[in-house]
Amino acid sequence: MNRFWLGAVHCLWFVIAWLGVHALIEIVPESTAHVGAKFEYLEKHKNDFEVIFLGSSRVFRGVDPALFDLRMAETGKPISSFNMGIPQMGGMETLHVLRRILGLESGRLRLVVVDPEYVFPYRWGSTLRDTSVHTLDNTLELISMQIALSKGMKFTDRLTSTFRHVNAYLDNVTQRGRISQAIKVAKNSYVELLGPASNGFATIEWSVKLLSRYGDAGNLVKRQRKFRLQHRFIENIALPRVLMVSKQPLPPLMPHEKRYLKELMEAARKSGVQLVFVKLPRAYQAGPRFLEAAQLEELVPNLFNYDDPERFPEFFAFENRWDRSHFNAAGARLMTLQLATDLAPYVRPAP
Amino acid sequence: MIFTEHRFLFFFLVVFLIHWALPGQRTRKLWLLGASYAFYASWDFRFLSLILTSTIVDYLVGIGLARTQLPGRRKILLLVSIFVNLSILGVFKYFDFFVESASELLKFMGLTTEVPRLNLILPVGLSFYTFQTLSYSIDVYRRKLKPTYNFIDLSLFVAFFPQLVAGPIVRAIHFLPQLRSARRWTRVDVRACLVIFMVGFVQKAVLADHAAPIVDAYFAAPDSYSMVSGWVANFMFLLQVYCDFAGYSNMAIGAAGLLGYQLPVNFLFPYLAGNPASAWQRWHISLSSWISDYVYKPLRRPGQSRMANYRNLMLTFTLFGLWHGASFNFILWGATWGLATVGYMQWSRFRRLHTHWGPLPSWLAVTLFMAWIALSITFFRAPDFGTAWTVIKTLLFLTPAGDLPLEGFGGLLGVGGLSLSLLLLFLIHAANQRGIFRWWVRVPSQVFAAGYGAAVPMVFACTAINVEPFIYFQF
Repeated sequence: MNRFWLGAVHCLWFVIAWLGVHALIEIVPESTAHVGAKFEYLEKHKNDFEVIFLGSSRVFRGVDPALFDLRMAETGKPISSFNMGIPQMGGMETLHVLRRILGLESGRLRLVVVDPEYVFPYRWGSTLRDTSVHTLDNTLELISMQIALSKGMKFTDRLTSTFRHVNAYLDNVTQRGRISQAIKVAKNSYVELLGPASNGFATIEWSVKLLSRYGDAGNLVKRQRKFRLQHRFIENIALPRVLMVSKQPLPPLMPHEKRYLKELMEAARKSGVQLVFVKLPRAYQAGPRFLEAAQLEELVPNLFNYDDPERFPEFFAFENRWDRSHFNAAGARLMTLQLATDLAPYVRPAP
Repeated sequence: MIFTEHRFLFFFLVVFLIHWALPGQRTRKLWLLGASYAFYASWDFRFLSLILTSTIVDYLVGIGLARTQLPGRRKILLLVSIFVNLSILGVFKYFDFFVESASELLKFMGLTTEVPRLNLILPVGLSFYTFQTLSYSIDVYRRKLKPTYNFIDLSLFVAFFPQLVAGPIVRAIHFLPQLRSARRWTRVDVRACLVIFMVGFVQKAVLADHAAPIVDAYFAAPDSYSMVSGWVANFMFLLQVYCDFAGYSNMAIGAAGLLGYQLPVNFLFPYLAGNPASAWQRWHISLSSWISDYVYKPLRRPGQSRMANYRNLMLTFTLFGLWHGASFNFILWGATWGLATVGYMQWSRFRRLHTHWGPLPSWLAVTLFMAWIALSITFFRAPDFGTAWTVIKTLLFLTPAGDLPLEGFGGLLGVGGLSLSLLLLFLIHAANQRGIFRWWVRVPSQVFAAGYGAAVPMVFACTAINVEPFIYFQF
């Protein structure tokens, strides 16, 4: 046998052994943490909810579906809602998750309340859910979404973002971190994201208690401590700066932001679900302003902007916040009550 | 592009296949140079200009040194190289630190001034390739090395991608001769290279990346955790930093070997050294030997006193700390190593004079030494001096600690997390000591191929889900 064929035989042995062990490892249960955790629950209870709240950790920590439902029931609209907020959910992921939710074809869903983050950059990084989301179908969809939305942007940025999806797909195919995923499940991230009432909402106070058992609360504790230390700076410098920024003229709506919003609304329209945009308070940091710009251009008909310290000072009050980005339990209560008041006209109980 | 990411593995596969498919050494070198620049540009293409500047200056200095024998002119040429290379390093890495320190000092003296800050991003691997280019100029100046007239060779020596961003720091005297002779595939020890690459991958992606979140959680709020948690976190960081850097070095050695080039060994299980003097002959060997050859030895004078030697050691170690990062933490960390080395030398001298004091049992020496490095590494890991001091106080019972337990890997698994990691590390060490890796590369080739194929998915499954950047990239 010459060297070439010998090499080919070795490669064959290599591949056979790889595939064999790969198949064995698949026995380890895949993680259902993050999007998976909430999505799986939603899949099982797809006909249970009329309203879904979608967005990043601001939504996860700021909207209490149980309280929202109670308020609606008091106004004669008995409904059930679910909080689909996921920490660090970026714009792209919001669109992807919205499509997945609508794809469930729930007979009961009437309203999706979205608080979108910046469309780009692609923010998932190498997270657990990033890997588990990147099946072949999802990856192709995400890449085509990326290409379509990022037209006109810098070529290198577009290329890098696309490669990150390919990288995440390869992570998925090679079952990268499968054992870590199983450990994550053992660490109860599933429970944390579903919350104590299994409605997708968890106050940070509750999470800190839960995560402390696993030694994972350090980051949340640190954020609160930093926030307290920066009290003076925040009130005297950061907040006036946010106010100043909010009074500046709105930046023009970028083409990719326009396309993004249209995609969101088109997806909802096709499914006969109403979409309402909200902008929860970013508190002390200037967030994306494309929603306001889109409202000016009448692209977004329903927008509730709570990111305004003059109109809603209570949302920015120190005692209602855990850190710069998130409400504490008291703040979440206030926010939910406000949402219940404003969204009441849009909520329709299922027949 | 991090070595443990799929995109690097894909990139390397393409570079490897095309490299060996190309005819002739010159075309291969050109290909490798292009690939190295592309690899570096994947971080930030603007910083390629810095590598090119260093390369061009040292190329011209080398040729200048070859063409003149006048000592004064040679010295000027050397100073040009040192000035340019250290200026780049100084501006990008140290300028803001020195300016801020000066400002703090003035404030302490009651003078307040507005100081200009550059706020520059630190180019990845800057310290590594600066030291490489400096070693070239100094060796040519010392006539230990003939300068190269081949610009491609020098450029590839500076930018060779497997070791470009985090070492090992290769000396021109070792690498340039390899570039001059043709590389042959038949001379590549493929199995040894694949094994060392996988060992590095396991160290980085399995051990270091799993330790990272636990260490991060602790250092984010050290006063919330218990004292035991503090010690666990510090030991975890010892594990992380060693596996991170040794892992990178091993992957670099494996990858370079597959392309036909040998890089020097950079780690020899330093934690088992048992004393600080020996540890630096086993940790980041390429840097410690660089510092020894180009900083410590030139400071030495014939017949100098013991105290002068200790002073030189302290200075060398402080510079060593500063090389790691522009902050007082690193300076202090380097100084603690200097003190420990001086202390150890004094202790050795004392033992020589008082022969009834025998050496410590090796297990005790290793344990004490590890406890000491676990304590001192706090300065390396903590984000600022205040945090470092909080950690040290907690570890030494000087302050009441918090009550949060630090358990990585969750529940019962967490208790065993550190032990499991240390066990795996020990197994790697034992396998190396007992020649298991050498045995493994000699098994029949089909068995090796199948074994490697089976190991790959297992390693992928055991990796941490987050791909952490290499710690030493920042240096």
